[in-house]
Amino acid sequence: MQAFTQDLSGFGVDVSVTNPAGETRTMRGLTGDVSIEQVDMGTGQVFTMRRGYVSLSIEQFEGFGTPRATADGGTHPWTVSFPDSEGTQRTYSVLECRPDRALGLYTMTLEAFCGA
Amino acid sequence: MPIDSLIELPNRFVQVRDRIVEILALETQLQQARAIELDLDPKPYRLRVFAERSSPWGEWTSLDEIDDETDRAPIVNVAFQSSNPVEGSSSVVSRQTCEVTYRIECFGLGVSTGTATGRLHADEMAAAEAQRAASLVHSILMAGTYAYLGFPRGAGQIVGKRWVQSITQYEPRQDERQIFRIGGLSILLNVRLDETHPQVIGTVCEGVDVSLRRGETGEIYAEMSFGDSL
Repeated sequence: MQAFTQDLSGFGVDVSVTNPAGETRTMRGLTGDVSIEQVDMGTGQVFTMRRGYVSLSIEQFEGFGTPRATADGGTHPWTVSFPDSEGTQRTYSVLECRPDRALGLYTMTLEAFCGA
Repeated sequence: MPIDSLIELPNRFVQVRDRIVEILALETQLQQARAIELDLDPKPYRLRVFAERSSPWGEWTSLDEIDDETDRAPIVNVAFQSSNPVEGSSSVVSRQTCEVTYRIECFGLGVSTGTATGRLHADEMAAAEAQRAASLVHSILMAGTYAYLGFPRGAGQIVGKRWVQSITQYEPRQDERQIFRIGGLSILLNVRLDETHPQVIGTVCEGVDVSLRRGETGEIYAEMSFGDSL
């Protein structure tokens, strides 16, 4: 799985990850930014939402910290940046991080982020 | 006997809904102008007003955060919800007094934004934007000048009363993990109005003259004169 996510000749892309301390590291992983339809469980209505995600191997974070969501507004968030299909670089903050320690992956749900 | 006149459209519940939209659209412009006159930022007073839209925030779901052309001002949607005739205040012939409820939804967009010391959270921003829009709508519709929503009073009065019944914030979906956040509040506005409907227009009858006279014995005599319509 790690080889699959880091294969630049396949689906892997270069992802720039910045931790709350402001340190930036370039990693390789799988990324996505797609609009999907979802059903609201409360009303049964279908709505469209845009979701972003990135999957990075845990080994690339050695000495860099563990990515996570930050609830405190006084703390800089974890951010990731990667290009879309047209090469436009987009920046996202981490909304949720789900580690898979069996596969050695962090899968993160992202939200759009506008820099300071 | 069929209705012998053309029914006036639209009914008053539609006219009142359109009036609410006009008032909100007008006042957001005027409030921005007043803010500018006072050297204040007009942006907090800006609303985009729609009527009977199912998902006016749709353009936000395809928002490109790099492209700043998408309008991020809060969105207000005015929709008719229900009309309940009040039997005790109505006439079975000519007029129904109705308690009409309009649902005014206010939506705000939130995008996570970095600051010098941390960041503004998208969900907090979305809620703040929606609440600001709701505050504006509430203040505008309950302003004294709009006690009757701009309709005339007196004979033929349409609106008897308007009242903000409730303001409710939508709970965020538990599984929502969107790139952007949209906050929403729903304002229920109750309006008491009179609906009128086609009436029977009677034909002109011939006049009948009646004279009543009391005789000496107390007996009442009636003398009548009328034409023979036949």
